[in-house]
Amino acid sequence: MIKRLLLELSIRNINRRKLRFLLVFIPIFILTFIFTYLLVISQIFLYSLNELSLKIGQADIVVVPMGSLVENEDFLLEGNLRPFKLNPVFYDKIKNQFKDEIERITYQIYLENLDGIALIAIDPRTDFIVKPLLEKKVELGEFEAYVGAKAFEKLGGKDSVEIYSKKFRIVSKLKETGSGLDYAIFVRVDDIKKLKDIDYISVIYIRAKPEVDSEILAYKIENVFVQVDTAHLTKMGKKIKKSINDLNNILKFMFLISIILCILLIYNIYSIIINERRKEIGILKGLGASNKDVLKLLLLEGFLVCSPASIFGSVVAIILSYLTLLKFFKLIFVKIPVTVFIFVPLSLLISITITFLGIYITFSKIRRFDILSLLKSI
Amino acid sequence: MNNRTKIETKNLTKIYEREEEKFIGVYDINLTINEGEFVGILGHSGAGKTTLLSLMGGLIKPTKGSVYINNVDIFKLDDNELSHFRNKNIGFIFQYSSLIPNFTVMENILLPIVFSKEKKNLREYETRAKYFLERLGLKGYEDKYAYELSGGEQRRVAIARAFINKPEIILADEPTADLDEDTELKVLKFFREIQRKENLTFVLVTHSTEIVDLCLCETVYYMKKGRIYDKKIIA
Repeated sequence: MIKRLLLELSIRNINRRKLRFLLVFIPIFILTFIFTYLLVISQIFLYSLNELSLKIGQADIVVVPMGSLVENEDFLLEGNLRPFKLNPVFYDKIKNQFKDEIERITYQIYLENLDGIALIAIDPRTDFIVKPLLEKKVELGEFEAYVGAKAFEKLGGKDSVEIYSKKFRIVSKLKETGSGLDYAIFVRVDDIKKLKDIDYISVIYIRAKPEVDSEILAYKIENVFVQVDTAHLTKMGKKIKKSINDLNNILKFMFLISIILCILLIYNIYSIIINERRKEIGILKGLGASNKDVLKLLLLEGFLVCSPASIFGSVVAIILSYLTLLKFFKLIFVKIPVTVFIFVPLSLLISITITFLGIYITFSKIRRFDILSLLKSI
Repeated sequence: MNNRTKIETKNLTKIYEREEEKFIGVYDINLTINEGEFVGILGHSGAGKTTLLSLMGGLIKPTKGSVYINNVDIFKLDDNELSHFRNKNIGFIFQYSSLIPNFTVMENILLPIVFSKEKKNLREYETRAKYFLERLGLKGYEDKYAYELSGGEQRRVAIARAFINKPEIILADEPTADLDEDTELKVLKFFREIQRKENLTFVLVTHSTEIVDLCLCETVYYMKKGRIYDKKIIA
């Protein structure tokens, strides 16, 4: 009951000064939001990128027609397939010319985008990209298909799919990769060739031998065959990481400015709130509350306002940072790592520290007054 | 200092400083108040009565001199000790309005218990609070908010609060200032009754000789310009 009275006194004081405390709530919300947003966006991104590279990391190098790297990145990172064509002779030429440095090589044909589902033809004899991702290890037979996790959902879990007026039986589903592969249907090149004249391939995937520097190999392929572009998967990650770092730098600057403004605002609002309550502080001290007791009460109020503001701010930041990457940057591979939730207590700790410091500094000025002059305050 | 001495002031002086000017609050006050004594301090406005009472309760610090309560020099105590001492031993009736508006009457009365360092049986104090409210003509007011009360009602709630913690000393500063004649009489009767029943040391500050008489004060100190210029022992 006694502790409850103290808590109730705090709650009622907050209720009585709703506007004032709202003015505390908002900067704390903004502060924790910016702090969490900044940290989480880079965390989610790095984590997701790492997850992605683990999943499509069967290959070191991707070879595409000159000028099609962006389209390929669009497909791998956003699931947006825009077919492009590469002369099939490059597959054999690269395979033969760099046979000592290549461990595995395969190709894929990007056929078309069927209402958000990418139709891709693979060669099961050489494929090392799709097979490791299968939930059920089944060889691809005649007029059979594998489907990506998201494509499977889009198809409503059906066991077959019609392609070029021919029914293909779905024999296995891919594990979710967070890449464009999730939105694809994979069929055999041989089957597609029975239904349609195809005289091109789209991408070549290469895995270098362990002793070979894959980055140098990619560079060499591009130099020998000027008609192609190569993408080193790690390099691709680095490029995106750089963009994120640029974004982070802007956010860091904003964060610094905001944190300074928020601290000043919180401090000033508490100065007003506490100064308005001189008389109440006088009454409490007159009744036997020590400075410590009054400070405890003020800190409790601060805690009651700052905790929800901070938790709310950081949770909204986590959700928004996820949505930013997913919707604004259209990065389908984003995933929220559990570790980002550490930022909720961390931002709570920071906002509590700032709030408590603001209260303590203001109260230190008030405590110098004697009780009688506090009681005389209006 | 005899063994019945409850409050003793020695050369108690308070000088206020405002914009390099000095004003005497109280000057060289030496008085002794015994346990269970009902003392009146009488004087006009600005005589230094409130300053003296505030010094006795440790609400302000003296420029010079000391205050002993139960043989303890209260200004030698640190903030924590003095707060605890005040909470345990002194019940205040402030001259100024002193309720917390967004607290109920009962919660306002129980506030000294909130800051008490000793374990208290709250039910017992609630019963005590109800008894005081009934005696002061506020039966059924427990759940009303302080802001809903008139000035006189607030004053009576503040009076009930001063007694709640079973203090040994009551320091009352113009306690009946906002009350009508009938209520004033009722309150003064209550003071006398509880003072005798609980053997309280009661210091009442007023500008009215009538109140001093009605309270049946045993000792009256007369103040003027911060000094005690007369003392009258009635009983």
